[in-house]
Order: sequence, then structure tokens, then C-alpha cells
Amino acid sequence: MNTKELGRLVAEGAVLGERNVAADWAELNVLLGRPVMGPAVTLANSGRLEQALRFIGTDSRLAKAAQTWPRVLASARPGLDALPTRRSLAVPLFTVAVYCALLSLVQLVAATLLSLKVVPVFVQMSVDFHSAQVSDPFEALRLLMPLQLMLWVLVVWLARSPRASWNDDLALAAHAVIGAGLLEAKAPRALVAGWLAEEPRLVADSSHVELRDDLRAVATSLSNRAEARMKRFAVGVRFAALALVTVQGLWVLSSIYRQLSLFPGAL
Amino acid sequence: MTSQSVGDEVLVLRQLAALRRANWPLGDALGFVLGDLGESALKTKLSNAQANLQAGEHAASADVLVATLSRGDANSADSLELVADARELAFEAAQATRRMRTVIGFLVTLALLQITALAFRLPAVLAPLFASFGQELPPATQLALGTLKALQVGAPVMLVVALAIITKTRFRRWSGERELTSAGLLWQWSSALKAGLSDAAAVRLIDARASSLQTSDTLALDLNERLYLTLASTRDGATQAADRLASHLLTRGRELAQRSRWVVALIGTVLTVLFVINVLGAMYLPIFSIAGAIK
Repeated sequence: MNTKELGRLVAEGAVLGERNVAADWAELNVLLGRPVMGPAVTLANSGRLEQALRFIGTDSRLAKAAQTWPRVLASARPGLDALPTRRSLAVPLFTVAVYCALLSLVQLVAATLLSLKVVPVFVQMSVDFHSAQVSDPFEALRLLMPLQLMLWVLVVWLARSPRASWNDDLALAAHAVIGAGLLEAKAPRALVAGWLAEEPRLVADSSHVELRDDLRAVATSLSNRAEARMKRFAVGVRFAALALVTVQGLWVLSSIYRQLSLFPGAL
Repeated sequence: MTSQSVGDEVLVLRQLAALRRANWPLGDALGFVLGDLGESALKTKLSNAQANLQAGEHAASADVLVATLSRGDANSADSLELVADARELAFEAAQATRRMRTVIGFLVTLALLQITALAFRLPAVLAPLFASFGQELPPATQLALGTLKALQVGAPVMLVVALAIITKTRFRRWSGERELTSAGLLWQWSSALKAGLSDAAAVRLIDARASSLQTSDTLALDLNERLYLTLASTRDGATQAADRLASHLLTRGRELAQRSRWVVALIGTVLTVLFVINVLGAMYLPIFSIAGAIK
């Protein structure tokens, strides 16, 4: 457990015990023997709990809700922790990216060697035989490597874009979880209504008696949908990236073998 | 434990939780579940727990499952579900540890075998070549040849030592096993306290040799976790502090378990690429030979 995680747990305990968060953090500083919570204590003491919580790594939406109703920290955190994150998309994509990058590097080295050792011989041959064309092993790489690069830039941009459907679902799910957390933390109805009104797509009546469970159910289905969409996106990217790198490799090889087949009597 | 025995244990715990949720006393629920089980180590454990219950003992047991169930109706449905989750996750984490050990062991073996092969092959090829120069070799070359000769003995020894270290290392820091196991143990401890056991008796349930949670080697809390437990126990109460720490460890353990699966996948990817490089190399080499033959 790092010190910021320790600070978050201490803050949860403090708000549940209706104590001053800054005082608990200050005591933590004393126990740790160094002022690791120093800036957070200063911010919390000046009434900026939201910034203090963000300083120790709390989710920004949760920090915002905690500014008005601190007890939500403890009731919403487990739900937020359980939500899938973009990391579940990053892991398979990074693996495929490493795979494609290594294969492209190998192809680049092979093409360089071919152009240094093999193509000069072909050039000589074409002069001798008055044949028309000499294949270029870089032809495929020149076209497909920028295409691969563009694909990965597009993928990274899309994965991080707030307009991507899964990020939208996750943001909505987090909003619903915090809404349910506010209800569980017995926040005033007006506060809950205000929180829910910030997200017009979450149509909810704050006077509904089962609202907390309904919000949790909505969050679960949204997070499941986000996870399914992320998986589908990862599968699509994996297919496209592997197809590109395979076509590239086959193109380099075939251009050389095709050239060789033009000189049947050369050996 | 095998995946089947852990799966059976988790299934039984979830069945018991469902029956407790339907307000069955744990003794009756145990009897019902025992009726469906074939002869197995799990049945023996459950029978022991049932015997403890009938004797009215909150007996400490070396087995966590027996110790948990022996607390009878003090076990709520939720706490049984939590114990099931913890055991399932801890088993998954242990498997992740094993996977990491296997992959890393394989890579180290491969690398050291290659070094051994080079140590034997290079001096055999280079020494006659250098001897034909008829002059004393530069110190750097002599040093390189000397190192290669030393590696002929050293590399196999290094291989044995590396494999011994890998076998002994638990990779718990990387796989999340420590966090998930500790989360489960903290829940056990907290539910024992809620069931009315004394602090010392509850600690003995999870670690017979420890006098407190903070000093338990089985729980293996790090400095900040021990600090939190000390601070929060005095302010919020011991069970609340343990529950909150367990919840944090569960989240962290899940993250680490996912990350370790990713690392293993990445190592697998690199191995696959190395294989593909070999294949590509094998396909390109004839082209160079052919090009060399064209005159």
C-alpha cells in the first residue's frame, strides 16, 4: 500500500467517524514521520476537500461529490473500484502492438539486408539480361508501415476519447455509482436530485424508494456493456493489425521470390 | 490444492450462503450439503465442522474452512460469500504465481543453455583461427576467451542456481497473491470477532503463532498497512478497520493479478516473435545463398 492509498483509507474512516479529515491526515503525517500528506492537509484545512482528495489520487467525480457530502467517499468507492477501466482495453492492445512492432522491426532489418546484399545482384542481372524491372523489398514497407502507424495513432486516440461508446458508458456508470453512494450515505434528497440532474441521460426520480438499487443495477449493466464494447473493439484492432503485418511480411517475401523466378537460367 | 477441490469448496460455501440467506441454521445447512457430497477431503472437513458445531465448540482449527464453519450461525450469508470469493481469488492468484514462475524459468533456462552452447562452440571455432595468426592475442581477446572457458563450467552451475532461486521465489509481489490471501484472512478475522471471539482467539484462527494481526507472518502486511490497522483500529474499531483494509487489498490484488496475466502474455508474445524471427530467418537465408551464387 502506498502512502496515497493509505491517505484515502484514512479519509474514508474520518468521514465515517464524522471527524475532520485534515486532522486525521495530520496525525498520519506524525505517525509516518514525514509530511507526505502536507499539501492535502493544507488544501483540506482551507475548505478545498475536492482538490485535497484529487491530490491523493481519488477519482475526480467522487472528489467532487465528496466536497458537498464527504460520507460518499466510503459508500461509493467499492462500486467505483469494481467498474472496469480503460486498462482492460490497454492490456490486450499493448500486447498486440508489441507483437506487431517487433515483427515490423524484423521485416525492416530483413528488407535492409535484402536491399544491401540481394538487390544489387538483381540490378546487375537486369543489366545483363536486359530485363525490365527490379523489385524493391521496401515497396511494401513504405506503404504499409505508415498505415500501421496511423492505425495505432487512431486506436490510441479512439481508446482515450471521451466520445468512445465504452468511455461514455463508464462515465455514466460512475455517475450512477456515486448517485447510489450518496443515497447510501444518506445525503439530502435535494443533493441527490442535483447530482442526478447533472447527467440528463440518467433519467431518475430522486423520490423513488428503490432508487439506490436501481442506480446500482443501471451501473452494472452499463459497465457490462462497456466491457463488451471494449472487448469487441480490441478484437477488431487485433484482427486489423495482424492482417496488416502479415500482408506486409508476405509482400516483402513475395517481391523477392517473384524476382528470383524471373531469372530461371541465372544459377 | 487442485482447481477442482477449490471449485467444490467455493460451490459449497455459496450453497451454504444461499441457505443461510433463506434463514436456515448453519448446522442444518451443513447436513443438507453433506448429503450431496461424495467421499472426499472436503466432506471430511465439513463433517469436522459439523461435529464441532454439535459439540458447541468454537474450536480453533488449522483449517480455515473448518474454523469458519465451526462458528455456526455467527456466519452470515454475506460473510460466507466473502470467504468463498477470497478463496477463489487466492487460488487464482496462486495459479498466476505458478504461471509466472514457469514462463520465467523457461526463459532463463533457454538463455543459459544458449550461453552454455556458445561457451563451448566459440572457443572451439575461434582458437584455431587465432592460433594461425602466429602472434600473441590482444589482452581483450584473451580475456574474452578465458571468460568463455570459465562459462563452460559456470553456465551450467548458474542454470542450476537460477532454477533453484526461481523455484523458491513466490513472485507474490507481482501476482497479487499476497494481497488476495491477506484480504481473505482479514475477513476471516473480522467475522470471527463479530461472532464474539476474543481478539487473540480470532488471530489464532488465521495464524497460530501470531499474537496480533500486525505481527502475523501469514497475513504479511506491509508497513503502511500495519500503520493503517493501528491508526484505524483505535479510531473506528478493529472490525471496521480490517474490513476496509480487506476491501482495499482485494481491489489491489485483482489489479495485480490482471497485470501479472498481462506480463505473462507479453513474455509469450516476445517468445512467439523470436520463433517467427527464426522462421523468417530460415526463409531469407536461401535468398542470400542464391544471390551469392549468381555471378
